[in-house]
Amino acid sequence: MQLKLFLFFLSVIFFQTSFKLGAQDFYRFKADYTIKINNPTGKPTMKMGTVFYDKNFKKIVIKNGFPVKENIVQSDTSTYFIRAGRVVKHISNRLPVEFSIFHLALNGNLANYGLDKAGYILEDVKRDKGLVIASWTPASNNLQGKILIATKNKELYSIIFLDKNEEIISKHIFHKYTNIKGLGFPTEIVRIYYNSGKELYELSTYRNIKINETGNDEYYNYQIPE
Amino acid sequence: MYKRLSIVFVFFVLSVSIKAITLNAELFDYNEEKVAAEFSELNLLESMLIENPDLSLSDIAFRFPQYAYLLEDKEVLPFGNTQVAAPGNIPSFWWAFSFSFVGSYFIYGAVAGPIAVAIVYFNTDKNKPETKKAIYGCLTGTVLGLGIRYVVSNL
Repeated sequence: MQLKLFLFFLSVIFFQTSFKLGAQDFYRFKADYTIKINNPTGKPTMKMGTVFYDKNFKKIVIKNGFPVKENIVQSDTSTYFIRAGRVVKHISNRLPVEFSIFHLALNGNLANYGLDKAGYILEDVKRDKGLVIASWTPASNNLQGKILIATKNKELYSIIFLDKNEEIISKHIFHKYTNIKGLGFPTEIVRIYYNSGKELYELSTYRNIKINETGNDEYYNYQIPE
Repeated sequence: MYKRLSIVFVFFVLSVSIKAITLNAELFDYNEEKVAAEFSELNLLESMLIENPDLSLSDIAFRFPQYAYLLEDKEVLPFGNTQVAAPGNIPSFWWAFSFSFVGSYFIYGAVAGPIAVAIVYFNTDKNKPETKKAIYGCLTGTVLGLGIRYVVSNL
Protein backbone atom coordinates (compact mmCIF):
# COMPACT_ATOMS: atom_id res chain seq x y z
CA MET A 1 0.00 0.00 0.00
CA GLN A 2 2.80 2.39 0.91
CA LEU A 3 4.63 1.55 -2.32
CA LYS A 4 1.47 2.28 -4.32
CA LEU A 5 1.06 5.63 -2.59
CA PHE A 6 4.72 6.46 -3.20
CA LEU A 7 4.39 5.58 -6.90
CA PHE A 8 1.21 7.65 -7.14
CA PHE A 9 2.89 10.78 -5.70
CA LEU A 10 5.95 10.17 -7.86
CA SER A 11 3.81 10.01 -10.99
CA VAL A 12 1.96 13.23 -9.96
CA ILE A 13 5.27 15.05 -9.46
CA PHE A 14 6.59 13.72 -12.79
CA PHE A 15 3.40 14.81 -14.60
CA GLN A 16 3.49 18.31 -13.10
CA THR A 17 7.17 18.77 -13.91
CA SER A 18 6.78 17.60 -17.50
CA PHE A 19 3.72 19.89 -17.91
CA LYS A 20 5.70 22.90 -16.68
CA LEU A 21 8.56 22.11 -19.04
CA GLY A 22 6.10 21.79 -21.94
CA ALA A 23 4.37 25.12 -21.24
CA GLN A 24 6.67 27.67 -22.91
CA ASP A 25 7.12 31.22 -21.69
CA PHE A 26 7.14 33.37 -24.79
CA TYR A 27 8.80 36.72 -24.20
CA ARG A 28 10.59 37.77 -27.39
CA PHE A 29 9.41 38.18 -30.97
CA LYS A 30 11.46 39.04 -34.02
CA ALA A 31 10.49 38.98 -37.68
CA ASP A 32 11.26 40.49 -41.04
CA TYR A 33 8.28 42.36 -42.37
CA THR A 34 6.88 44.03 -45.45
CA ILE A 35 4.11 46.59 -45.26
CA LYS A 36 2.27 47.71 -48.36
CA ILE A 37 -0.14 50.62 -48.13
CA ASN A 38 -2.38 51.79 -50.92
CA ASN A 39 -3.17 55.38 -51.55
CA PRO A 40 -6.62 56.11 -52.95
CA THR A 41 -5.19 59.10 -54.83
CA GLY A 42 -1.88 57.67 -56.00
CA LYS A 43 0.43 54.69 -56.20
CA PRO A 44 0.91 52.23 -53.32
CA THR A 45 3.90 52.50 -50.98
CA MET A 46 6.02 49.82 -49.35
CA LYS A 47 8.25 49.53 -46.26
CA MET A 48 10.51 46.63 -45.33
CA GLY A 49 12.60 45.85 -42.30
CA THR A 50 12.82 43.91 -39.06
CA VAL A 51 10.66 44.23 -35.96
CA PHE A 52 11.83 43.35 -32.42
CA TYR A 53 9.63 43.04 -29.36
CA ASP A 54 10.37 41.91 -25.80
CA LYS A 55 7.29 41.89 -23.58
CA ASN A 56 9.38 42.77 -20.51
CA PHE A 57 10.66 46.02 -22.03
CA LYS A 58 7.40 46.86 -23.84
CA LYS A 59 9.06 48.61 -26.78
CA ILE A 60 8.24 47.83 -30.39
CA VAL A 61 11.49 48.44 -32.21
CA ILE A 62 11.37 48.66 -35.97
CA LYS A 63 14.60 48.54 -37.91
CA ASN A 64 13.52 49.92 -41.26
CA GLY A 65 15.62 48.94 -44.23
CA PHE A 66 13.59 50.15 -47.19
CA PRO A 67 13.25 52.78 -48.47
CA VAL A 68 14.81 54.74 -45.59
CA LYS A 69 17.23 53.32 -43.06
CA GLU A 70 15.83 54.40 -39.70
CA ASN A 71 14.72 52.97 -36.38
CA ILE A 72 11.19 53.52 -35.18
CA VAL A 73 10.53 52.88 -31.50
CA GLN A 74 7.09 52.71 -29.96
CA SER A 75 6.97 52.92 -26.18
CA ASP A 76 3.59 53.25 -24.45
CA THR A 77 1.67 55.70 -26.69
CA SER A 78 4.72 57.53 -28.04
CA THR A 79 6.58 56.78 -31.26
CA TYR A 80 10.10 58.04 -31.98
CA PHE A 81 11.65 58.19 -35.45
CA ILE A 82 15.43 57.87 -35.09
CA ARG A 83 17.97 58.50 -37.82
CA ALA A 84 21.75 58.51 -37.44
CA GLY A 85 21.34 58.23 -33.65
CA ARG A 86 19.05 61.25 -33.36
CA VAL A 87 15.31 61.51 -32.70
CA VAL A 88 14.04 63.33 -35.77
CA LYS A 89 10.36 63.12 -34.91
CA HIS A 90 8.21 62.22 -31.92
CA ILE A 91 4.50 61.59 -32.28
CA SER A 92 1.72 60.16 -30.13
CA ASN A 93 -0.33 57.19 -31.22
CA ARG A 94 -3.79 55.99 -30.32
CA LEU A 95 -2.99 52.45 -29.23
CA PRO A 96 -0.51 51.56 -26.45
CA VAL A 97 2.07 48.81 -26.92
CA GLU A 98 -0.09 46.39 -24.92
CA PHE A 99 -2.60 46.48 -27.77
CA SER A 100 -0.03 45.41 -30.38
CA ILE A 101 -0.26 42.03 -32.04
CA PHE A 102 3.22 41.18 -30.73
CA HIS A 103 2.35 41.75 -27.07
CA LEU A 104 -0.98 39.96 -27.38
CA ALA A 105 0.52 36.95 -29.17
CA LEU A 106 3.37 36.53 -26.67
CA ASN A 107 0.90 36.69 -23.77
CA GLY A 108 -1.54 34.25 -25.36
CA ASN A 109 -4.25 36.93 -25.60
CA LEU A 110 -4.50 37.24 -29.37
CA ALA A 111 -7.78 35.29 -29.70
CA ASN A 112 -9.78 37.97 -27.83
CA TYR A 113 -7.33 40.80 -28.55
CA GLY A 114 -6.85 41.31 -24.81
CA LEU A 115 -10.18 43.14 -24.62
CA ASP A 116 -11.14 41.51 -21.33
CA LYS A 117 -8.21 43.37 -19.75
CA ALA A 118 -8.71 46.61 -21.67
CA GLY A 119 -12.00 47.89 -20.24
CA TYR A 120 -14.37 46.04 -22.57
CA ILE A 121 -17.30 43.81 -21.60
CA LEU A 122 -18.38 40.77 -23.61
CA GLU A 123 -21.88 41.67 -24.83
CA ASP A 124 -22.91 38.89 -27.20
CA VAL A 125 -21.52 35.74 -28.87
CA LYS A 126 -22.85 34.05 -32.01
CA ARG A 127 -21.78 31.24 -34.33
CA ASP A 128 -22.11 31.73 -38.08
CA LYS A 129 -20.50 29.89 -41.02
CA GLY A 130 -17.61 28.48 -39.02
CA LEU A 131 -16.89 31.75 -37.21
CA VAL A 132 -17.41 32.45 -33.53
CA ILE A 133 -18.32 36.13 -33.40
CA ALA A 134 -18.09 38.10 -30.18
CA SER A 135 -19.30 41.63 -29.62
CA TRP A 136 -17.41 43.66 -26.99
CA THR A 137 -18.75 46.91 -25.66
CA PRO A 138 -16.74 49.59 -23.84
CA ALA A 139 -17.26 49.68 -20.10
CA SER A 140 -16.88 53.47 -19.99
CA ASN A 141 -17.64 56.42 -22.26
CA ASN A 142 -13.94 57.26 -22.47
CA LEU A 143 -13.37 54.40 -24.89
CA GLN A 144 -14.47 54.40 -28.52
CA GLY A 145 -17.27 52.21 -29.87
CA LYS A 146 -17.83 48.47 -29.90
CA ILE A 147 -15.33 45.92 -31.16
CA LEU A 148 -16.33 42.74 -32.98
CA ILE A 149 -14.03 39.73 -32.96
CA ALA A 150 -14.32 36.64 -35.14
CA THR A 151 -12.34 33.50 -34.35
CA LYS A 152 -11.95 30.44 -36.54
CA ASN A 153 -10.65 27.20 -35.02
CA LYS A 154 -9.85 29.15 -31.83
CA GLU A 155 -7.53 31.50 -33.76
CA LEU A 156 -8.20 35.19 -34.27
CA TYR A 157 -9.62 35.58 -37.78
CA SER A 158 -10.82 39.15 -37.88
CA ILE A 159 -11.47 42.20 -35.76
CA ILE A 160 -13.76 45.11 -36.55
CA PHE A 161 -13.61 48.48 -34.81
CA LEU A 162 -16.87 50.44 -34.75
CA ASP A 163 -17.44 54.08 -33.89
CA LYS A 164 -20.06 55.23 -31.39
CA ASN A 165 -22.69 55.23 -34.17
CA GLU A 166 -21.79 51.60 -34.97
CA GLU A 167 -20.22 52.50 -38.32
CA ILE A 168 -17.15 50.43 -39.24
CA ILE A 169 -13.91 52.38 -38.76
CA SER A 170 -11.54 49.56 -39.66
CA LYS A 171 -11.46 45.84 -40.33
CA HIS A 172 -8.39 43.66 -39.72
CA ILE A 173 -8.09 40.12 -41.11
CA PHE A 174 -5.46 37.67 -39.88
CA HIS A 175 -4.30 34.98 -42.31
CA LYS A 176 -1.74 32.21 -42.79
CA TYR A 177 -0.96 31.27 -39.21
CA THR A 178 2.40 29.70 -38.51
CA ASN A 179 3.43 27.87 -35.38
CA ILE A 180 6.87 28.54 -33.90
CA LYS A 181 7.78 26.68 -30.73
CA GLY A 182 4.07 26.37 -29.95
CA LEU A 183 3.24 30.05 -30.58
CA GLY A 184 0.66 30.64 -33.30
CA PHE A 185 1.16 33.86 -35.27
CA PRO A 186 -0.54 35.18 -38.44
CA THR A 187 2.02 35.85 -41.17
CA GLU A 188 -0.36 37.94 -43.26
CA ILE A 189 -2.59 40.72 -41.92
CA VAL A 190 -4.91 42.80 -44.05
CA ARG A 191 -6.14 46.05 -42.54
CA ILE A 192 -8.90 48.04 -44.19
CA TYR A 193 -9.63 51.58 -43.00
CA TYR A 194 -12.88 53.27 -43.98
CA ASN A 195 -12.78 57.03 -44.32
CA SER A 196 -15.36 59.25 -46.05
CA GLY A 197 -16.49 56.45 -48.36
CA LYS A 198 -12.92 55.53 -49.30
CA GLU A 199 -11.05 52.34 -48.38
CA LEU A 200 -7.39 52.39 -47.41
CA TYR A 201 -5.61 49.03 -47.42
CA GLU A 202 -2.56 47.96 -45.43
CA LEU A 203 -1.06 44.53 -46.06
CA SER A 204 1.57 43.29 -43.56
CA THR A 205 3.51 40.09 -44.11
CA TYR A 206 5.98 38.51 -41.70
CA ARG A 207 8.78 36.04 -42.40
CA ASN A 208 11.83 34.59 -40.60
CA ILE A 209 9.96 34.74 -37.30
CA LYS A 210 12.08 34.00 -34.25
CA ILE A 211 10.72 33.47 -30.75
CA ASN A 212 12.76 33.98 -27.56
CA GLU A 213 15.88 34.95 -29.52
CA THR A 214 19.04 35.46 -27.50
CA GLY A 215 21.24 38.34 -28.64
CA ASN A 216 20.24 41.60 -30.33
CA ASP A 217 19.60 42.96 -26.82
CA GLU A 218 20.39 46.49 -28.02
CA TYR A 219 17.27 46.31 -30.21
CA TYR A 220 14.94 44.56 -27.77
CA ASN A 221 15.73 47.19 -25.14
CA TYR A 222 16.48 50.06 -27.49
CA GLN A 223 17.65 53.18 -25.69
CA ILE A 224 15.96 56.23 -27.15
CA PRO A 225 18.56 59.00 -27.63
CA GLU A 226 18.09 62.13 -25.49
CA MET B 1 -52.44 61.18 -23.28
CA TYR B 2 -49.87 59.86 -20.82
CA LYS B 3 -50.41 56.31 -22.18
CA ARG B 4 -49.83 57.45 -25.78
CA LEU B 5 -46.64 59.20 -24.79
CA SER B 6 -45.45 56.03 -23.05
CA ILE B 7 -46.13 53.96 -26.21
CA VAL B 8 -44.24 56.48 -28.34
CA PHE B 9 -41.34 56.38 -25.87
CA VAL B 10 -41.24 52.53 -25.94
CA PHE B 11 -41.23 52.56 -29.77
CA PHE B 12 -38.42 55.12 -29.71
CA VAL B 13 -36.33 52.97 -27.35
CA LEU B 14 -37.02 49.88 -29.48
CA SER B 15 -36.04 51.66 -32.70
CA VAL B 16 -32.76 52.72 -31.12
CA SER B 17 -31.99 49.18 -29.97
CA ILE B 18 -32.97 47.72 -33.37
CA LYS B 19 -30.28 49.95 -34.92
CA ALA B 20 -27.64 47.78 -33.18
CA ILE B 21 -25.39 45.94 -35.60
CA THR B 22 -26.36 42.33 -36.38
CA LEU B 23 -23.62 39.80 -35.77
CA ASN B 24 -23.02 37.61 -38.84
CA ALA B 25 -20.12 36.21 -40.87
CA GLU B 26 -20.77 38.61 -43.80
CA LEU B 27 -19.60 41.52 -41.65
CA PHE B 28 -16.08 40.14 -41.89
CA ASP B 29 -16.10 39.70 -45.69
CA TYR B 30 -13.77 41.74 -47.86
CA ASN B 31 -12.65 41.73 -51.47
CA GLU B 32 -9.43 39.70 -51.36
CA GLU B 33 -8.82 40.03 -55.10
CA LYS B 34 -9.13 43.81 -54.97
CA VAL B 35 -6.58 44.03 -52.15
CA ALA B 36 -4.16 41.70 -53.98
CA ALA B 37 -4.58 43.70 -57.21
CA GLU B 38 -3.79 46.97 -55.40
CA PHE B 39 -0.34 45.68 -54.45
CA SER B 40 0.46 43.34 -57.37
CA GLU B 41 2.91 45.79 -58.94
CA LEU B 42 5.01 45.79 -55.74
CA ASN B 43 5.48 42.01 -55.54
CA LEU B 44 8.45 41.92 -57.93
CA LEU B 45 10.33 44.60 -55.98
CA GLU B 46 9.57 42.90 -52.68
CA SER B 47 10.94 39.53 -53.88
CA MET B 48 14.01 41.25 -55.28
CA LEU B 49 14.72 43.05 -51.99
CA ILE B 50 14.25 39.85 -49.98
CA GLU B 51 16.82 38.11 -52.18
CA ASN B 52 19.18 41.12 -52.33
CA PRO B 53 18.72 43.09 -49.09
CA ASP B 54 21.79 45.25 -49.80
CA LEU B 55 20.45 46.59 -53.06
CA SER B 56 20.99 50.34 -53.01
CA LEU B 57 18.27 52.85 -53.70
CA SER B 58 20.15 54.20 -56.69
CA ASP B 59 20.35 50.65 -58.12
CA ILE B 60 16.61 50.29 -57.74
CA ALA B 61 15.94 53.68 -59.29
CA PHE B 62 18.27 52.88 -62.21
CA ARG B 63 17.13 49.31 -62.91
CA PHE B 64 13.46 49.77 -62.09
CA PRO B 65 12.47 53.37 -62.77
CA GLN B 66 8.81 52.42 -62.30
CA TYR B 67 9.58 52.12 -58.56
CA ALA B 68 11.48 55.40 -58.24
CA TYR B 69 8.46 57.06 -56.60
CA LEU B 70 8.76 54.58 -53.72
CA LEU B 71 12.12 55.98 -52.70
CA GLU B 72 10.55 59.20 -51.45
CA ASP B 73 10.82 59.63 -47.72
CA LYS B 74 7.38 58.95 -46.28
CA GLU B 75 6.77 58.51 -42.59
CA VAL B 76 4.47 55.61 -41.92
CA LEU B 77 3.18 54.42 -38.56
CA PRO B 78 2.97 50.68 -39.16
CA PHE B 79 1.21 47.68 -37.64
CA GLY B 80 -2.27 49.14 -37.47
CA ASN B 81 -1.52 52.08 -35.23
CA THR B 82 -2.63 55.62 -35.93
CA GLN B 83 -1.25 58.99 -34.94
CA VAL B 84 -3.10 61.27 -32.57
CA ALA B 85 -2.61 65.03 -32.81
CA ALA B 86 -4.54 68.28 -32.94
CA PRO B 87 -7.33 68.55 -35.55
CA GLY B 88 -6.02 68.22 -39.10
CA ASN B 89 -2.93 66.37 -37.78
CA ILE B 90 -1.38 69.74 -36.94
CA PRO B 91 1.39 69.32 -34.32
CA SER B 92 -0.20 69.99 -30.91
CA PHE B 93 2.47 72.56 -29.91
CA TRP B 94 1.93 74.73 -32.98
CA TRP B 95 -1.83 74.35 -32.80
CA ALA B 96 -2.00 75.76 -29.24
CA PHE B 97 0.81 78.26 -29.94
CA SER B 98 -1.06 79.85 -32.86
CA PHE B 99 -4.28 80.26 -30.92
CA SER B 100 -2.66 81.60 -27.76
CA PHE B 101 -0.29 83.91 -29.65
CA VAL B 102 -3.05 85.56 -31.66
CA GLY B 103 -5.45 85.41 -28.71
CA SER B 104 -3.13 87.01 -26.16
CA TYR B 105 -2.06 89.74 -28.59
CA PHE B 106 -5.66 90.84 -28.70
CA ILE B 107 -6.02 90.34 -24.89
CA TYR B 108 -9.73 89.52 -25.05
CA GLY B 109 -8.84 86.40 -27.01
CA ALA B 110 -6.49 85.17 -24.29
CA VAL B 111 -8.94 82.40 -23.57
CA ALA B 112 -8.26 80.95 -27.06
CA GLY B 113 -5.04 79.24 -25.86
CA PRO B 114 -6.66 77.18 -23.08
CA ILE B 115 -9.52 76.31 -25.45
CA ALA B 116 -6.96 75.06 -27.99
CA VAL B 117 -5.33 72.93 -25.26
CA ALA B 118 -8.74 71.49 -24.32
CA ILE B 119 -9.41 70.64 -27.97
CA VAL B 120 -6.10 68.74 -28.16
CA TYR B 121 -6.91 66.95 -24.89
CA PHE B 122 -10.23 65.64 -26.16
CA ASN B 123 -9.17 65.14 -29.79
CA THR B 124 -6.31 62.86 -28.73
CA ASP B 125 -8.41 60.80 -26.33
CA LYS B 126 -6.78 62.54 -23.32
CA ASN B 127 -3.26 61.70 -24.48
CA LYS B 128 -0.85 63.14 -21.89
CA PRO B 129 2.28 63.79 -24.06
CA GLU B 130 0.20 65.59 -26.72
CA THR B 131 -1.63 67.67 -24.09
CA LYS B 132 1.73 68.56 -22.56
CA LYS B 133 2.99 69.74 -25.96
CA ALA B 134 -0.17 71.84 -26.33
CA ILE B 135 0.32 73.40 -22.87
CA TYR B 136 3.91 74.34 -23.75
CA GLY B 137 2.66 75.78 -27.04
CA CYS B 138 -0.02 77.75 -25.21
CA LEU B 139 2.45 79.18 -22.67
CA THR B 140 5.00 80.10 -25.34
CA GLY B 141 2.34 81.69 -27.53
CA THR B 142 0.89 83.67 -24.63
CA VAL B 143 4.27 85.02 -23.49
CA LEU B 144 5.24 85.93 -27.05
CA GLY B 145 1.84 87.45 -27.86
CA LEU B 146 1.80 89.58 -24.71
CA GLY B 147 5.47 90.51 -25.19
CA ILE B 148 4.94 91.75 -28.73
CA ARG B 149 1.81 93.60 -27.66
CA TYR B 150 3.77 95.31 -24.87
CA VAL B 151 6.61 96.31 -27.22
CA VAL B 152 4.22 97.59 -29.91
CA SER B 153 2.14 99.60 -27.43
CA ASN B 154 5.26 101.23 -25.93
CA LEU B 155 6.86 102.26 -29.20
